[in-house]
Amino acid sequence: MTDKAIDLSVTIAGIRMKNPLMVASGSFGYGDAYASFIDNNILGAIVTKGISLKPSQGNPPPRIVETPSGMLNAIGLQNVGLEDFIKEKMPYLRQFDTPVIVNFYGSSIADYVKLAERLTDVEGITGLEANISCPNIKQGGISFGTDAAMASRVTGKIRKATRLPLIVKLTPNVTDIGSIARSVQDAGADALSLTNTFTGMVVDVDTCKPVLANVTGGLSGPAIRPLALRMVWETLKRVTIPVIGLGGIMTAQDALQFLIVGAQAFQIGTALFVNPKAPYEILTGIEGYLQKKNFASLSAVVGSLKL
Amino acid sequence: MMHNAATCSAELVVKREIIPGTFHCVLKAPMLAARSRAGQFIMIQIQSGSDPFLRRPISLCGAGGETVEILFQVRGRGTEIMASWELGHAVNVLGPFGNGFMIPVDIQTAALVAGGIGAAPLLFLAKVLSSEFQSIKLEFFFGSKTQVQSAILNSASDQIQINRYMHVTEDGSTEYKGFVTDAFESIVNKGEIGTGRTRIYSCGPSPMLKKVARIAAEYSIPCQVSLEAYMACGVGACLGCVVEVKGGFKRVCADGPVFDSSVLDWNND
Repeated sequence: MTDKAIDLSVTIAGIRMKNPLMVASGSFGYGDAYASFIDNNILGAIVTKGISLKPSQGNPPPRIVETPSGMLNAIGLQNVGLEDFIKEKMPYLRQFDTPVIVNFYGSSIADYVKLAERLTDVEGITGLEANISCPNIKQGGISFGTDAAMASRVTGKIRKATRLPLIVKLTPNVTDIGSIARSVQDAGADALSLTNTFTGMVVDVDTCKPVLANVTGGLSGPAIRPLALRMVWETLKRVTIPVIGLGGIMTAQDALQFLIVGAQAFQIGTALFVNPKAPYEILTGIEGYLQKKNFASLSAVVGSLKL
Repeated sequence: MMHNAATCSAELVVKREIIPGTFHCVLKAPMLAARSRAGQFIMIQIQSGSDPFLRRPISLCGAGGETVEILFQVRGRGTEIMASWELGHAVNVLGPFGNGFMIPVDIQTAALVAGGIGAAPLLFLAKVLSSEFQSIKLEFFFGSKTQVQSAILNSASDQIQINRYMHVTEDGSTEYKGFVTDAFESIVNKGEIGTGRTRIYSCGPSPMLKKVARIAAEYSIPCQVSLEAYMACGVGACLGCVVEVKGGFKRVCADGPVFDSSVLDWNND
């Protein structure tokens, strides 16, 4: 990992990262949960747990269930809320030589705007990642991210509220990811990250009840990887801003697939639950791949897909 | 809450099927053994690849020297695969995790109330209390369906000194018939437990824990319960394993698995 000959650095939306490996929102808490396994300084970037204006308790348990090659979760975006996050969690995150990207969400456009404004002036925050997969309470609870016009409107308002690099995280639960991505780009996003989880459901046949208290949840893990990869590929055909790929990445081989189709960086999430050492193994594996291919830098891999 | 967990490869050195479908295993893992406390758990990878996908959280029933011990019951595909492991198998383990039991230095009586395989963390606790608290009065109340489950307690009998042992069975195949909680309550009610510096420690199915918590509250005896939950990460990151407490949720993996019974919300389960 310290081989100076290989350059894994990448700059996305003005965020300079040592390497393309980012830890995904919701998998890494506020940066401290994996302290005994991972040196945060080796990471390309840390994306925090999703933050809301007020603290959120999340959904009642059961919140998770194992599925074939994956898991379903309905955590319900439990978080400490904006002000406690800034006061209690940011001091820890500031210690590392790793960009901190704050994921945030709201239930109205006004929420997103308030969050973006407040987070912009906090020391140590390098960028923002807007989770637009949440229901818009004022529009009958339809997810912002499933409608191109709504996705565009919320992105435009956030854009005006912050000068920080703005990544918009897209939901895959749509028919045409390309047109949503395009409208978010046109509204001023600096980069896109995709995909969020796929909505799914598991039923207990003995009780005839859904296993999750929330009935449905978000599917993650290797089960969704080919679906996510296809969506990243389709999105890249429609946008010019950088795309960060995620969805079921467990190994260097998995991450390389996203880079080859054209993602400039990638996020790992669920992989950490199974293998906390995954960041080390993935970075070493990508270096080995570059060496084998005789590439001097990551840019030779990005978009190297042959059709 | 910081933990000192690490990854390790643990060698399976003993495997005994003590009752059909229930296994006692000893894993050689010196670093893990040195760090582990009673009430903590480990996250076991079933096999490489992605199916079964998640690790299984398993309570430690002992740790000492170079080894840790676990007890598990075959309940699904993951534990079925574990049951097929042969001696020498290298088990991919993360741990130890969780807070463990709190033992006050001036403890006089410890009443351990266990249900079935839930005895596992309490056996670890009983070993610690037996070896480090010479003058303690140790009472062990064990509930199970039938007499055969006594093999669970027997797996540790050479390492624990118990002052009173009561094995209550649902089918009456031991001296005491019924639910362990009823037998325990009648002893507490007679004033045989609860005087002096007493602590109740309990682990088992949630209806049992609910009754133990109620008894502890009624007789004002401090009580700690060890909870079980489906988990993904084990480190406190995913927030998947929460339990309801008065005024919100706590993570079983990182805030527990041992909780003071008075902080839990027993109304919804």
